[in-house]
Amino acid sequence: MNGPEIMQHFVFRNGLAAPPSQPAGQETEKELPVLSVAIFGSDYPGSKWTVNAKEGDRVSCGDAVLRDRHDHRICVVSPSAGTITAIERGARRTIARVVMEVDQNVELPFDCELLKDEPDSDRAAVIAFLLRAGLWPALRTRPFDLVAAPDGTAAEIFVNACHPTGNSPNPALMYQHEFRWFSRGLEALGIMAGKSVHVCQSSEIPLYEGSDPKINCVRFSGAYCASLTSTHVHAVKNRSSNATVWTIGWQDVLAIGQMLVSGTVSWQRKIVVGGDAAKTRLSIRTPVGSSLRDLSSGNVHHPSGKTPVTVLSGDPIAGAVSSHLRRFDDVATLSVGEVDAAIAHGSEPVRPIIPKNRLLNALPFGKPSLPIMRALLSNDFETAHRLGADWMVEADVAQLTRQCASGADYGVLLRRALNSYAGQPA
Amino acid sequence: MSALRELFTARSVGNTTVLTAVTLAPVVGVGLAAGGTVLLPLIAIVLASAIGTELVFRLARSQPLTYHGVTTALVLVVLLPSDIALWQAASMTVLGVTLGEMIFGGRGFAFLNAAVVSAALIITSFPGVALSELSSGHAVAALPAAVALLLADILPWRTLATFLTACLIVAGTVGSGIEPLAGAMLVGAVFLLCDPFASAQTRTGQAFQGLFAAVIFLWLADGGQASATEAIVRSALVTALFVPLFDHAVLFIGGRFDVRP
Repeated sequence: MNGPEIMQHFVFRNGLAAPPSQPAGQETEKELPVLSVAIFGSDYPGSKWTVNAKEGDRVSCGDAVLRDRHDHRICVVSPSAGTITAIERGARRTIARVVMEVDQNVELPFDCELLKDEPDSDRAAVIAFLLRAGLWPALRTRPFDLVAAPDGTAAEIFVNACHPTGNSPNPALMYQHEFRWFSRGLEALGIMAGKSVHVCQSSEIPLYEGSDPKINCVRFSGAYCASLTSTHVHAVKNRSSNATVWTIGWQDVLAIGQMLVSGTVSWQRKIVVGGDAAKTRLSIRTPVGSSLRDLSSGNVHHPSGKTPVTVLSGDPIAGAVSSHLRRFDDVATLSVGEVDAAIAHGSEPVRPIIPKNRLLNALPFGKPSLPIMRALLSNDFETAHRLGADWMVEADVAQLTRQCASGADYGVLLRRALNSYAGQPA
Repeated sequence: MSALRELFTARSVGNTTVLTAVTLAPVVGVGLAAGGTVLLPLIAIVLASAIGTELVFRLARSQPLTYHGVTTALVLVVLLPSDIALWQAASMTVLGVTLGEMIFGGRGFAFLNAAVVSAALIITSFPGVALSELSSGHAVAALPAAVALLLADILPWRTLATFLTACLIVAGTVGSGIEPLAGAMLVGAVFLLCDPFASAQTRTGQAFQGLFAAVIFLWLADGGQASATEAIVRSALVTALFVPLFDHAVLFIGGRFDVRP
């Protein structure tokens, strides 16, 4: 379904408005030296990792640092060459964070010779490419938002090519050669998808103009929720089927295309650093997982002297306080003031939900916000499941956390519910 | 000014309590103007009973102390007759706050309005006691409250709209006139029926709630022949008991009619 005249267009007005560009004015392209990068285990929920290196080891860009315990083909690779300085573990010995001191930022040449012994079929070859390059964990499943299984299938793959906030990088502003890579990446996904690849975009002009009939551009506009993958899946997915779909971000599709066209795997991502406490809005190409301190250095503006500034990985609605940029975030937000400490629901007493009218409309896809919030807050996973919470992710409920007076972090509660459905430890 | 804005953002249950109490003041004022200082002992005993019950539960559970019982007490002051025996008012307030609110964990966790439960207990326990008749003056005094609570986004407007619309349509159709019911209808709708914590959680559920409450209210009020105040109390109580059922029906039966944009 190509061409602007026949591109489907969905408008969603529920929930919070999309945050505007902050600070206002032109984006400035800049190169910033990044001294540290990190890989977070929690960016890949449901996966259990073993670490392939130890503290003090030197790793090259593209070396496998984490490997899935259950499927050794899936790995998370180092986004940059450097030395591992810390391996931090969380609850149940899970990998919380692997921190690396960056030596140099070099693009990884992908050795196609490695694939000589791979099966001949197209689909198997593409999957093998992605697994070897470490790009496979970019593919996520819905429901549950887990890393897709290489042996699994998906009839539909959703590519999120929206820019949810004024600060998000705009895929419509790709260079000409990047468009070619992006198209190649989409066609590779088309080989893997059973039925179709949906390119969900904000811009009016289709991002794919090739001839692959499987690739379908759909436009989404309106409030913040219009850019969320859950909204895209809800609007476009065949409702008669409950089959699993896969999702992926546009910058990862670009990286797949670049790998297939040029033989180079890039772990550089275009990100924007902005927010109400930023002096200027910076557009930066930086490795995945870059240190937020490095990205924000020299760009912090204290409007009233002593006001604290919080650095978020992500946009002002769904972003979280972090030391480094999270794997799937392409925005860093410098925010004035301290972010409300949400209660990660445990033994702490939770305040009641004030059922405001605006909360009834907070979720865009016909999901009843208040019953889902109450079910999550009371750990009633069965009701939450019946209400369709398993098709949602943390970003979808971020605006509920922002608007609800209970002080609960619905992202944490939702992940607990998703882990419970998926048979993972809560 | 910033304190007022903070109040209207209703970011906490405490804020909603303060806002509701402030908006109840004109309605209580109408009662005081009519009844005079005779009401003062009743106000004191009901306030002490409601807040005291809440404090006892909070202390027993080692929870932070709250004062949400103020709104329950003020609503009861409006509903109760000035000549009610103080022990009757006190005992039923304690029982109502306990059964309607505190056993569920306090304000915000219950599905009943404590004032409704207390008033219903008084009606059923003491057959000789009739609730006070609410005049059109009470109705006028409740209008600013409706506006303020709507501005604060905590009044379920769908419930209010369907309830009032259904009442007006039926009263107009039957020709019984709405004036004898106006006071109970408006005060009851704003402070009893549209309690945000005891209302439906879905849009369609709220509409059903308003419609159901209107039917019960008009049936019990019998065109002004019976006590309109008792009718709205009974209506609010029965409706609150059915609200979870409405929500369940909307979520698990009506959900299939969810339409795409």
